[in-house]
Amino acid sequence: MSLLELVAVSKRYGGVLALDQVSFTVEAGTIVGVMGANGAGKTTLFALIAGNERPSGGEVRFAGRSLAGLRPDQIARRGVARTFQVVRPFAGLSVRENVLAGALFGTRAFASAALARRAADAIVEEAGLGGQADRLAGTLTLSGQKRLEVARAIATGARLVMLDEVMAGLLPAEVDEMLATLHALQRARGLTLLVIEHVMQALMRLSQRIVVLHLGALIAQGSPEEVAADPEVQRLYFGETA
Amino acid sequence: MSERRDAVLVLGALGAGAAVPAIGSDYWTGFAITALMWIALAQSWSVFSGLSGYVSFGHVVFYGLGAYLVVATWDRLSPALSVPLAALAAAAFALAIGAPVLRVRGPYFVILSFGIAELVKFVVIAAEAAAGHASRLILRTPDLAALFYLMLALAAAATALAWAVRSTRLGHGLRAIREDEVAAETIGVPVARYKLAALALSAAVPGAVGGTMAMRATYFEPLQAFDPMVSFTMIAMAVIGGSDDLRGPVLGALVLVYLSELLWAGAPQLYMVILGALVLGFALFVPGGLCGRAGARRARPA
Repeated sequence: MSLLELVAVSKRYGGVLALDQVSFTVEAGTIVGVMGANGAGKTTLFALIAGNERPSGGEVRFAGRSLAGLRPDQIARRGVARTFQVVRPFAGLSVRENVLAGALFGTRAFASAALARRAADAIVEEAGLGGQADRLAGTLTLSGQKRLEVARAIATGARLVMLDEVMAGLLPAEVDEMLATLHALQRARGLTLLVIEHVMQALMRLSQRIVVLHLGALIAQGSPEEVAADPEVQRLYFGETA
Repeated sequence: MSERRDAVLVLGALGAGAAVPAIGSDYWTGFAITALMWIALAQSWSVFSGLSGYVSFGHVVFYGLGAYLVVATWDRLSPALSVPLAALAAAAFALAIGAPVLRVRGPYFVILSFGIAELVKFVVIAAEAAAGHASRLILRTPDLAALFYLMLALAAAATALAWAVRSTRLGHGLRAIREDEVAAETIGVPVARYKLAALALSAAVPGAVGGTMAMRATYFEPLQAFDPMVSFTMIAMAVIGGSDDLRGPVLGALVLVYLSELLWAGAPQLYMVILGALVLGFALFVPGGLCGRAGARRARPA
C-alpha cells in the first residue's frame, strides 16, 4: 500500500484551475521530487495534502485513509508535515522552542515534557542548528530559517514530510549542506519526503522519483533519468529542438 | 526551571502580603485590595492575550458580569456561592462569544472585543432601567479583611493559572498561535479549541474579581462596572510589565497602582497622560515589557 495516494485531485480558484485531476502515489520511505514552473500548482498541491486548502475535487489518501474534511491539525496528527516556501518560523520564540512546539503537537505523545525537550534538542542538533538553539527564530539567516522549517516539521514525528523549496535562495555550499542534512534525517527516521525544488540539480540528486506538473496537470513521472528524457519535459524545459 | 522560580517568587510575595490586614491600617488594606485586584486582572488578561496574541480590549465585560451577578443575587445567594458562580458565568460567557469572535484576528479582534463589552454594558443598563434600577446598593457586605483575603486568593489563583497554562501544551500551542497561526495549525495545534479554552480560563478570575469589587464598593452601577478603562488599565499593566512572563503583569500592576496612588488625588489628568505615554513607549520600544526576554535574548551572543 502506498503511503500517500492522490486520486484525481483538482483545485479551482474562481476561474483558474490550479490543479487538474492530479493522480499519483508515493511509496513509504522514498523521496519523491515535484517539478514544475511557477504556477504549475506545486505549492497548491502541498496545501491540499496538508489540509491548508480543501480540494475542489478528488481525494487525498494517507496510509490507506481518506483525509477528506480533516483540518490541518488533524492531518498533522495523522503524520503529515510540511514546510512553507515563504518561511513561517515562530519568530518570537527561540529555535529550541520552535522545534519543541513541533514535538509537543504532531503525532508523538511524550511521557513527559523533559522527554519532548530532549527529542526536540536532538533534532535541533541534527538539523545543524545546535549553535543557535537559544536564538530567536526571527533573527536567523534565511538558510537558518529554512533549516528550522525542516527541523520543526520533522519534530512532529510525521511519516510524510513535504519540503517546499527548502534550498531556494541558498548559496551552492549551503545547498550541499542541506542535501546532506536531508539525506541523514531521512535515512535515520525512514521518512517519506515529497520535495518541491527549483534547484533542478538538487532535485535530481535527492529524488528517487519525480513527478512533473505543468499548468496544474501532471505531465510526466518516473525516475530522474526517465523524466529528464521525457519528450514533453524536454520541450517545456529545454526548448522545442531538444 | 526559571518558570517555576518565577511562580514561587510571585506566590511567595503574595503570601507575604497576607500580613497586611494584621499590621497595616484600613487605608493600607484597601490599597492592597486594589493592588491585588489589578494583579489578578492583568495576570488573567495575559493568560489569553499575552500568550495567544489576540489582544482583548474587552476584558472588563467579564469583570462587569461578575459584579452584576453577585449584586443581582445578593439577597438570595451567599458570596461563598455567588463569587464562584461569577467566575463560572464569566467563563461560560467567554465560551459562548468565543466561537464566533475568535475567528477574526488582529485589529478586527481588538475592535470586536471592545464592541462586545460596550454592547453588554448597554444591555445591562437597559435591563436595569427596565427593572427600575439606576444603580443598586448592597448591605451587610463582608469586612475589609475578608475581602482582602478573597482578593489575595484570586491574585494567587490567577498566577497559578498563568503558571499552569504556560507550563503545559496549551501554553506552547498558544505561543505558536501568537507567532503564526497557519504554521501552528500545520504542526498539529488545535487552534480553535486552544483559543477558546484560553479565553474561558482568562475570563474566570476577572468574573470573581468583579463580584468581589462589587462587595467592596457596596453598590453596582453599570457605567462603572463595565468601564472600558478597566480593560485599558489591565492591558497597560501587562504590556508595561511584560505579558509573556509570570512576573510581568504583577510588576506592571504594582508600578501603575503606585503611580495612580501618587497622582490620582492631585493630578488625575497627569496620571492619564503618563499612562498613555508609558503604554506607547513600551509597545514601541520595549515590546517584551520590564520582564521581557525578547531584548535579553537578542542581546545574547549566538
